[in-house]
Amino acid sequence: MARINIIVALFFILFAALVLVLSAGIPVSESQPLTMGTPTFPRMLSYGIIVLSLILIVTNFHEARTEKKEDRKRMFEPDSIKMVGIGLLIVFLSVVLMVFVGFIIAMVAMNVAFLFYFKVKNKVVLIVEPIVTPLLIYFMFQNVLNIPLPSGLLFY
Amino acid sequence: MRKLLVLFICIALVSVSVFASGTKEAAFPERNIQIIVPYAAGGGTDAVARAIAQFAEPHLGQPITIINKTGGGGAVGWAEAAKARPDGYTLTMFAPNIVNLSIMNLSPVGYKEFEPILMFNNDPGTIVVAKKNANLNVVEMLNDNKYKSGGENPNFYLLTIQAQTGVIHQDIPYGGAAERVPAVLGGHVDFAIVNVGEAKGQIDAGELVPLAVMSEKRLDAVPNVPTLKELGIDAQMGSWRGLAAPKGTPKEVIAILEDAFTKAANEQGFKDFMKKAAFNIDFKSSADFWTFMEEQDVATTKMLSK
Amino acid sequence: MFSNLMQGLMSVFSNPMVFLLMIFGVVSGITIGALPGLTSTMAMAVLLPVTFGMEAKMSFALLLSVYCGAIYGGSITAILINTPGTPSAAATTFDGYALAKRGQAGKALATSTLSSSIGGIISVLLLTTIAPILAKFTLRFAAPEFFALAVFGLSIIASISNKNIVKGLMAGFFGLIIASIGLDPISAIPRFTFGRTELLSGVAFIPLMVGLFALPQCFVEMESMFKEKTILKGVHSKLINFKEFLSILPTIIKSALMGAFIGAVPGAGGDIAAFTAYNEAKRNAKKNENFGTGELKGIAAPEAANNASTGGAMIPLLSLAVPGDSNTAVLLGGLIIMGLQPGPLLFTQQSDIVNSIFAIMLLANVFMGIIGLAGIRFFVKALSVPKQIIVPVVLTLSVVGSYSMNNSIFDVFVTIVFGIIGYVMLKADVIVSPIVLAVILGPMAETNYRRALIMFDGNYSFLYNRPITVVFLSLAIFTIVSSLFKQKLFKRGVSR
Repeated sequence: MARINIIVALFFILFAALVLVLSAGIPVSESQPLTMGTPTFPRMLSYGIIVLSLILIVTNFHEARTEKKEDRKRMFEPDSIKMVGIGLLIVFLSVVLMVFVGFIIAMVAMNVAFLFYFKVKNKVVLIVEPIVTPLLIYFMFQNVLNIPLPSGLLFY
Repeated sequence: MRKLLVLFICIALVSVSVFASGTKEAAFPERNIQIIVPYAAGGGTDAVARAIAQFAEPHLGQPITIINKTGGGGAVGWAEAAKARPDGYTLTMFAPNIVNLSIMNLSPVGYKEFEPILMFNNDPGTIVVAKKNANLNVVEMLNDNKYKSGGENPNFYLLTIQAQTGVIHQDIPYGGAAERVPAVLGGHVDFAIVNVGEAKGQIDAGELVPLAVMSEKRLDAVPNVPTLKELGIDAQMGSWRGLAAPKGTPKEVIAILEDAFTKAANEQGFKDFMKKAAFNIDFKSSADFWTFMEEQDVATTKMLSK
Repeated sequence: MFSNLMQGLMSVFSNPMVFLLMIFGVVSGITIGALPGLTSTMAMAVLLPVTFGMEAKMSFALLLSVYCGAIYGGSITAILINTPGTPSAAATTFDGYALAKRGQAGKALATSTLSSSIGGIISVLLLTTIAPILAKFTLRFAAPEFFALAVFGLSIIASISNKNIVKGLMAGFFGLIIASIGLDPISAIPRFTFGRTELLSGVAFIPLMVGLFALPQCFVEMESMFKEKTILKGVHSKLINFKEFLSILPTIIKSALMGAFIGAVPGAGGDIAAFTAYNEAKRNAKKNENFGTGELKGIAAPEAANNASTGGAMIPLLSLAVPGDSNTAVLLGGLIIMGLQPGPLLFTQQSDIVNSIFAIMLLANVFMGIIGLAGIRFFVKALSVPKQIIVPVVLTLSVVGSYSMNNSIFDVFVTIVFGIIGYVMLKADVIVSPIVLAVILGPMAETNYRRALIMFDGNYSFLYNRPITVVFLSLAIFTIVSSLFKQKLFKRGVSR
């Protein structure tokens, strides 16, 4: 864990640095001289993150160096990156698809894709789940809650 | 085999949705109308939109759907509405921010990107103080900068008054009336400017005392309270609501909408709703609404450039 | 003392329609609360115009039942799939999901149901007795007090970061920075919006929460799906026994009192109440290392507190006409449309309707308990549905939930981004709850701190010369220091 902690700390320092750079571009209002300016709060927080990250590095440094190679935990197993990555890609592409073809088609496609990906063999599930889930949700939103879901740019 | 099945389902769904949407041209409106409300469900603007929608449906013969699209003080919803196809099927609710935000460079769209349809109400700012300050002379108070105000930033009500009196009060930034009313009640600020409806319970109970209203005429809800104009400070400012369509909507369509919504707004049921919610009815036709916003635009620009 | 409540009950009992509406309201409230991304505010705003034509009593039977039901419903998904259905159930995931993972979902759900119901009832009883006094007291909260309350809430981050306080605090600071995105509430200047109008009002909360909880959970299920044959541990739908109930009863009562008080402070709602109560239950426990592993008190405390906050939130609404959160803002709209003007006079001039409101809330909490207990059997069944089906369904709900809050595709992408962040944090062993707490409390802390500075002409004395502020700030320091000691961080530092 010690090595992971150090990596985490480095990432947080990077994030804080980014916030510091971005906050340099925020103007300070002159109409409220009595209070701190708009960028002050995020700036203070960034310094806070940097200090905490340094503490995390210092407290883990010794352990990380002495940790035996076989005890080291990996943050991501290569196969889990692949597995989750594909899942994430399916969600992302479906949402992009939703912009064009609307909620129902995109979500049916997403559910079908996931069932194939999860190697579901049962034919009934393969057909019923992807159709029933989006349609049920669509009906509930459109008719019961009166909230329209995207119909897609193509069918506008 | 499975892939074929997927393809089949997709084609089936596509064709269903294409047929369902239809393509023929007919008299407006031939399908349901959406009103984009740029504020959260349950708020004042949302309540007015839902109420007018209910009464306008019979006059238009089509259902009206309310879509709440919040963010950026209204800018997100208006940006979306301005992008919508100008066919009269997507409308939006206006509030003072449609004028103010673009002056302050906080919104990509302003009222000029729309065609106004009808204005419903205009609630003038009402200066309220806590019970213990009931005997304060409001003119003296507004001319003495030892009194602290609590308001939204920028506080257009106070800026309007300051433009007349030249006295700058310390204005502690608060959110909506839900934050300002307790601040006055708890004595954390000396006065606040709210709409009567937002403080009616406290006014009726005598816990908050209205000293003056920022309108042309006295308000029906608080007839004993003088206007600032009567007291010699000609400062008028209110929070108003209206309906608009994206720019480029055909004139005939705007006329149909204006007619239907005007009929709806004049129904007793809608007027009763407005009275119960203490919204001050102030109908303005499409043309008058436009002129009104132009005046607001000029006044606010002048105020902020100071 | 309770004669008002009795009168209210009598008037409610005289109309059977009210009962039907309440049962309908509670059931739909629980459903909406349980679905991540659907909120009680949304449901109430949609129902409000439906109630225009109804008699006041019936309208409130519907709205208040939805309100109470939804706050409870959030705990069901928090326990079953580690995804809080509402923000106020975020603290319930710690022990609720842990217990469900041990195969005792029934017990976890029974605890949450009983705690929610009893917590709600206690808060109504409190509401009937001390509403006006408490309302007067909350008026003493000015900017410094709100700031101190927010800091105290934030200090709870230290106590919920079980394994590593430093990493928990880092997550909290990250959340505070996320919360600072958008228009600065004091100066009206945009921060970190990258020119996007959508970000002017900040990162929307529901998409953020769905992203941080629901998505990583789905990803973890995906991993396990391919790695091992998922063996379902025998799901006991066994509820809790009387002895266990007695052992958590003191926690319930204490948390309910805390929840009602926090709910009564305008601007502080069920989410803060739940975290505070969890913190206190953990601090007070003899064996607090059990917290986070399925401790019943860890479920009872947040659930009793968040439902108790409903009664609390009615206090400023009814007696000051000040809505404390978005739910009570809708109720305020409802009251006004009914021609009822909340405020000090409501209690004297319209005591009939006030009594009915109390009675309705009391009954709604009772119904909620009964319906909840009867439903556990069915809720638990959700666990025996194969993960291969649950995951796509939850993902579909996540998409629709984050979209529909604001009808915004942008928000769906926000959910995906926070889903990735949440998953990476999970892998790096950084807990995500501090982010939720920080996003809720960050704006409250910053705005009130800066407002206080303006109020007191740039003078910092408000930090130490106001009693309520001092109490909350001391509590905050105490929470952080005691958590540090418990973690033996100091001891290790000294010995090295």
